[in-house]
Amino acid sequence: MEEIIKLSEEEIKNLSFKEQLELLERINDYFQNEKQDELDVENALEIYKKALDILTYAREKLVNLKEEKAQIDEKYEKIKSQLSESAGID
Amino acid sequence: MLFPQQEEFKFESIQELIEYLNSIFSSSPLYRQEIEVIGDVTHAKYSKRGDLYVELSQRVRSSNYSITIIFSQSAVPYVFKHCRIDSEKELLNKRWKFQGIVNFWKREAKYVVSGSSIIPLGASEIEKKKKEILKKLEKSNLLRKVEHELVELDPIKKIAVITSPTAAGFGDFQKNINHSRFIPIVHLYPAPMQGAETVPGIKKALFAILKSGIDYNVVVIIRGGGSKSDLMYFDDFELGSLIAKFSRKIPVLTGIGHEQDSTIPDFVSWKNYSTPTEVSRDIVNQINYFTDTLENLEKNITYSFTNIYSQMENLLSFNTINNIKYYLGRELINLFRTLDEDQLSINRKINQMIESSEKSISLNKLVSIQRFIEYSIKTYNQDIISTTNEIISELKSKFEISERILFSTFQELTKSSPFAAFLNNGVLVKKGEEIIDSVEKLQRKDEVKLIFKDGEADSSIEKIQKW
Repeated sequence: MEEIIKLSEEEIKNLSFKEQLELLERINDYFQNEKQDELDVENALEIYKKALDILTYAREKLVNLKEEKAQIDEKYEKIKSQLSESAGID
Repeated sequence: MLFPQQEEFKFESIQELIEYLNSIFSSSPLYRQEIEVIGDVTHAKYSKRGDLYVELSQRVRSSNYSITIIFSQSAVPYVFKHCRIDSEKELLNKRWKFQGIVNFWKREAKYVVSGSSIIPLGASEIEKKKKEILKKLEKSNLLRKVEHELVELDPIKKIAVITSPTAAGFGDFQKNINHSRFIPIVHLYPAPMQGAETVPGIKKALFAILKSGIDYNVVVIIRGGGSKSDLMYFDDFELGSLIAKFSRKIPVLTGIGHEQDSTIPDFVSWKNYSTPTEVSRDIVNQINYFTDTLENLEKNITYSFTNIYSQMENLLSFNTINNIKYYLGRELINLFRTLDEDQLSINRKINQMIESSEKSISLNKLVSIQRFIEYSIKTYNQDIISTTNEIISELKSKFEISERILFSTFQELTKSSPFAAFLNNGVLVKKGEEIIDSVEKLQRKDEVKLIFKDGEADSSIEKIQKW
């Protein structure tokens, strides 16, 4: 768990979705299997905070954010117009 | 007139035009004559009535030629028996020679052949060509070697679709994609999906995708419906090679053929499906699977942590700490009090014991105790020695008596046995198998055996004397 606590936001962001899922599964196992009376509450709180960070970035990988979608659509419209222009020339 | 005047073809109705075309056909030498034609079967299906419709196709450069041959329901079993097949599927992708009569179908203004027999010729040209392309692709290490699953990829949220915008397949694809929990971006890159423009169209679309700079998760090439004979346009080495190389950058998913047919892109794409619907269904499953997994993990982690947190909170609450403090303090005070009392009483008792011991112990008393102990030890020693001697003499006499009793018992037991002499270190006399225990059983010249403890001897009786 120490290595998860040490992860920076940038490092979490750069992980693949599957790596993020794997970390979340490890955290879930830790909370489920660790004896509660042996848990260090401060440590658990840190891990929980990291889990929320990982969840945020994983959800970003799952959903098209409005801004991101607009940018992609813009790029697409540009290439589409180029395509129809070249089709016209052909 | 120098030149014959050109006839004017004006028809009042379609029927009139078709009737005219039919009259030309009826007057041609082909009419009602049996023909033979060789071709590759691309499609074979039964009609509702049970007649078999076979489609023959041929690709010449960029054009595709095809004709339908119909076998009536009653003729099918004989035709199949003749060409040694059991089902119409065995006709597919093979080259055959067909015999039959050409008919003109007035309703559709279409020529069809009423088939009479099928003669096998071997593998079709289409199949041969496909095999050659596959061999070439294998040599170039471009064929797919591993069967992939979409869960190997990141969640699919950007899709580039290459297909004909008018194709029914694209509509089905989009409709199905909307069933996903998070709807991905779907961008259409239009390309003709039939005819000679298929390969250049797909190539152009793939390059446009690269040029767009959009990091699509997957590229989907789909083709829904349409003639099966058009599938042959996909069997192209250049297209196969391009898709294989493209898949290394962005995974290409194909849903081109029908269930039984595979085209070259199916062998080189990252994953292939039978229909566009199948592709969209798998994408939806991938997105929904990841969404569910993430949501479950979020739920479990939050629940577990909230549980831990609330338990800790309860433990650390103000009242609990105060109660613990009060009880611990009270217990400690009681303990200290008991300890003090115990210490005092122990001290008192030890002092008393020391005092009384000091009083009772004097030097004279110690000397008399020493003497008494020495005398006692000496007396005990003498007693032990005399008792030991008594026991020894008693044991000796008992042993002798027992030995005598044992000997006399032995004598008594053996005196009447025929082995008595033998047991008393004498000789046992046997005549044949009989043991001789009396001279009365012997006669002169009898041959006897003398048996000793340590051996035996043969003897002859010379003289007999009775007591």
